[in-house]
Parts: sequence; C-alpha cells; structure tokens
Amino acid sequence: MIFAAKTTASGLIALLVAFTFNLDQPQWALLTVFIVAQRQSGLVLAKSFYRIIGTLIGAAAALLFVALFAQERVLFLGALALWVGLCTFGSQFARNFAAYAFVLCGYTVAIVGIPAALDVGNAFYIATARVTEISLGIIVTATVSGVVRPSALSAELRQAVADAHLWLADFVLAVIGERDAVMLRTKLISQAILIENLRASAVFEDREIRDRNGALRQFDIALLDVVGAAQVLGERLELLRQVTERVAAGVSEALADAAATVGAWRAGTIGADALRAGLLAAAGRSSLSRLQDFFAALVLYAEAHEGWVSRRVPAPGHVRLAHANDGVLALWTGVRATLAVVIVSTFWILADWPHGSTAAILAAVATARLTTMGHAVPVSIAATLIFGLATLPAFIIVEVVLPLVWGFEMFALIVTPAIFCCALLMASKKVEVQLLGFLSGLLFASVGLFQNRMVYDPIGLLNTAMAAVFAAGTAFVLWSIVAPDTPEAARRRFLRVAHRALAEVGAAHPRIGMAEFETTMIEALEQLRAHLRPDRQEDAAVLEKGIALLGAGREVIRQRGEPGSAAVNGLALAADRQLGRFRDAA
Amino acid sequence: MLREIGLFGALVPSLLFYFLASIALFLVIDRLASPFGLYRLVWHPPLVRLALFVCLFAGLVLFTHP
Repeated sequence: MIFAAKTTASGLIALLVAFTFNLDQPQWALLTVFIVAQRQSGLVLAKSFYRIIGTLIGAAAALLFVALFAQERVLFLGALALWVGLCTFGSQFARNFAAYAFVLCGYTVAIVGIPAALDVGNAFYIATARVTEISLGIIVTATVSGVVRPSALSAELRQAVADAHLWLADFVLAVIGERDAVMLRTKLISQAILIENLRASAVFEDREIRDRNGALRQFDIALLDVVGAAQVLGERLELLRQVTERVAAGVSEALADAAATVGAWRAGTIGADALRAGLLAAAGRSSLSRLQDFFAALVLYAEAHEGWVSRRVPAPGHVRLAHANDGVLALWTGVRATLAVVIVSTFWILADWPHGSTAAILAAVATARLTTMGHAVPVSIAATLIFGLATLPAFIIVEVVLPLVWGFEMFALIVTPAIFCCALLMASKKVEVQLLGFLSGLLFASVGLFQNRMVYDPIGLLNTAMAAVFAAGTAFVLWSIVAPDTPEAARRRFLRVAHRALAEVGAAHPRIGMAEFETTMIEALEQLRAHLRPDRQEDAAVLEKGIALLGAGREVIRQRGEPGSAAVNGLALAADRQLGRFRDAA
Repeated sequence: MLREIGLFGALVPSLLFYFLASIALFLVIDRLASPFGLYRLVWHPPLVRLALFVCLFAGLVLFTHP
C-alpha cells in the first residue's frame, strides 16, 4: 500500500516537473518511475548515481550506433538487439550497484536509439531530451522513496537474527536431549537463507549493516556449522548406541552437563565465555570427537552472535564472499532479450508497421524488467490477454475522460487511480500479479503520451496498445520457450553450481575458502528451494540431499589442512558420492 | 533568466552545473554532519537531508546567477 502510494506520488511529481519545465515527452519520466520503482529503499543517492551513469552510457551507446549504422536499419537493429542482450545479461549477472546501471543502460539505448535513428538530424537533441526525462524519473523516485516512510529492512534483519538465535538454542537443546529436531533444523536452514538474502539487500540500505557485514556473515556461517555438526553428531550417536553401552554412558553424562549450560545460555544468564567453559568441562567427560566438534561449533556460534549483538566492529579480517549468480542463467536471459528485440524489429521491417518502433522499444523494456521475475507458461498467456484487455480502461481514461479536464489538478485526479492500481498490483507478493501491474503501468504510460498540450489521437493510441501487447506477447513467448525456468532446470542449475564449488574445494590447490563456498551453496540452495514445493515428498528429499552436499563440502574444507592427504581425498570422494545421490534424487 | 552554456559545441542548461555543484556541496556538508550526530537530533533525517539539498540548490541559484 505504501509502496503503491509512493510510486503514484513519484509518477505525478515527475509528470508535474516535466510539464513545468516543458520537457519534450514527459511520458518517459512516468515510464522510468515504473521501471525503477522498488519496494526497498535506502542509499538512494548511491543507487540513483549508478542508474544515471547507466543512462548516460546508454545514451552514448545509442548515439554511437546511430552514427555508425543509421542508414542500415538491419545492422542498426542487430547492434541494438545485441546491446540490449548484453545489458540484460549484465543486470542479471552483476550483484551490486552495477546491476542497477545495467538495467538503465539497456533501457536508454532502446528509447534513445530508435527515435534518433529515425530522425538522424536531431539525434543529439533527442538523446539529451530523453536523458533529462529519464534522470528526472530516477531522481524523483529516489527522493520520494528515501523521504517517505523508508522501509526498515535492517529492522527486519535484526528480528530474523533474534528469531534464529532462539530457534538455534531450542534446536541444540533438542539435539542434546536426543529429541526429534528435524522440524527445527529445516526451519533454521531456511532462516539462515532468509538472513543471507536480507543481508545482501540491507548492505545497500544501511551504512551500519554494511560496516558490520562481516559479523553477520560469521553469524550465519556459524549457525549453519552448528546445524551441520549436530547432524553428524546425531548420526554418530545413533551408531554408538547400537555398538557399545559404555561409551554411550559417558556421552550421556556429557550431554546432560551441556544441556544445563545451554539452557542457561539460552535464557541469557551466561555469555559466550561461560558457555565455552561449561562446554569444555562437559566435553572432558567423553572422548567422542564428533561431540567436541559440535561443542566447538556451538561456541563459535555463540561468539559470532555476541559479536553481532554487542555491535562491536569486527576485526578487519575481511570475509571474502562469492555469489552464486549462474552465468548460464544470465546468458539465457540475455539471449532472450536479444531475440525479443530481433523478432519484433524483423516484424517491424517486414510489415512496414508505423508503430513498429514503439513495439521494439517496449520489447526491450519489458524483457529488461522480466529478468527479475520467473514464471510459467499458462500465466504468460493469461497475462498477455489481460494486458490486451487493459487497453480498454486506458482508452477510456486517455481519450474520453482526459479531454474533458483542465489544469494539472484535474489531470492528476483522473490519472492517479490508474497509476495507483498498477502500483498496487506491483506491490503484491505474487510474481504474476507484480508482472501484471508492471506491464499495465508500462502500457498506460506509453499509450497516454502525456504532454503539456495533449494531442488526442485514438487511432494512434490503439496502435500503440497493439504494439505494447505484441511486445509483451513476444517477451512472454520467449520466456516460456527459450530455456524456461522449470524445476528440472533449477535442479540442473543447482547441480552445476554444486559441482563447480565442490570441484574447487577438492582441487589440489583450493582457491575458495569456507565463506565463499558456503555463500555459493546457500544461494544455490535458495534458488533451488524457490522451485520446489514443500508439500511434495520427493522435493523435500531433493532439498535434503542438497543440504547434505553443503555439509560434505564443509567437511572437506575443514579437513584439508594438508591438501592431497588421504583424509581429504576420502572426503572428496564422499562429497562426490553425495553429488551422485543428489543427481539420482533429482 | 538562466542561460544555456556551450560545452564542446553542445548547449547545456546552466541549471545542470548548479545541480552538480550543489550535489558536491551537499555531500561535503553531509559528511561533516554525520559524525557530529546532527541527524540524531532531528525527527526525520531523510527529510532534513532533502530539505538541506533543496536549500543549497535554490540558494546557490538565487545568490550567484548573473
């Protein structure tokens, strides 16, 4: 709701400023508002800076293409399609501010390049006008999202950490008490993934979180370590109980001691130091190495948690992180964007359709945004249909109601509900609804052609709407046909990432550390989880196997003090076996 | 009335230069204000920052334009 109101306000302010300064085509400012609208806010200055850089690069590239191939439209559109594909690839592959720049870069090339190529004499003028309008949209959105109720991602993150801490303590007590802990374990792992995702976004929002990024990473990794160690311990205890009574008795004593200590720690009466002392004493009662590993992981976790809670700035020992953004996935996204532009422009050239340029622009814009949303085939068909139907209300608003109004206030009164509805749909948690809202917003902004002196042209509007439907339809069809995002594809992708990560871990000269391996695997797991249904038995099994892979890799890293030793080779073999098991399950 | 300025043969609105200059000025003041805890004294820091920027931008234009 707040997001919708913010987007609407941004759109109206952008239009008002554009009208006041008599900009050439204010509708691009509105369109930009839809493109850059995001639910999270924060660090708006940095984000907008990169977006504006992207816009400038895009405009420069567009002018370059116009200078090189203005006479040869096939070459021009080919170069344009490749550029849009490249930018889409970049926006998917990069994982920081650069991603924001890439999105705007591809978008600007399309909306500057095509009109400029059609009117070469005014190319520079068109480029500056579009850059002004796009920058206006960016700045207004950034200002509004920064000033009005900035969303508190960091508060959400702190809450998630606090929840995880309590659950972990419960989990440890359950493991020590030899009760069933499967439910808690699953909950903890998804919570770790949630924290990791929140962290990745909050780093851009909150300076404090960014400074304490390392502490949070250590916390998350220590959390997973405890879960992993508990799993190993549980298996070993099961085995021991069958073999010998005497060892089991020692372990039971140790566990009982540990339970008292952990209970006090959970209640907050003792800190990490006292926990360490208590667990050390408990560990002395048994020689079981798995138990000692588990206690060590728990102490490390308690220290990491204290480091996070106490707001102590962590030691400068920087944790190197990796991202699991799959190059293949990003490449397919780029290919789809290129194909969308190629298909639409081919149709434009063959059919000599006067509004083909609009369709080509919108195809580029729609695919640029679709990169962030996955979806299925039936939804795409329905969305294209509904998108076509959205033309009717747009037509009524723009051609029937708007000619009756006078002044910006009346104009705003008419336009606000339409923008608000689109933004409300965009604020939805469901991807399909988001997509619908976004596309309707695009349609509305591009058919409206809002100007200071409105020119009402019903035929033009219908043609633009057709172009928009065509562009969206093409984007959808490509999304469904070219390397669609199915659960099988997600499993293959996970397998690819896991295989690569494990190969690097097991290599003679390993290049990746614990933190990098774990971030890669956790992200891959999260991407996998997004495609699995928790209610299906085999999907749960697949996820379980994936988590086992994470544990196997972690064990290899921990033991690889002397690379190439028998222990490491054995563990690498075991990890490979896990990989094979995952492949079978998938 | 603000005039356009020729930059390598292209006419650029002088407002753009004012805008860039006020961004630079704003960043300097912002950097200075954060360690002094100025933003902890106000109710809505982002609003104050926006207002500060608008004041700088408008002031720069009003007091220095020819």
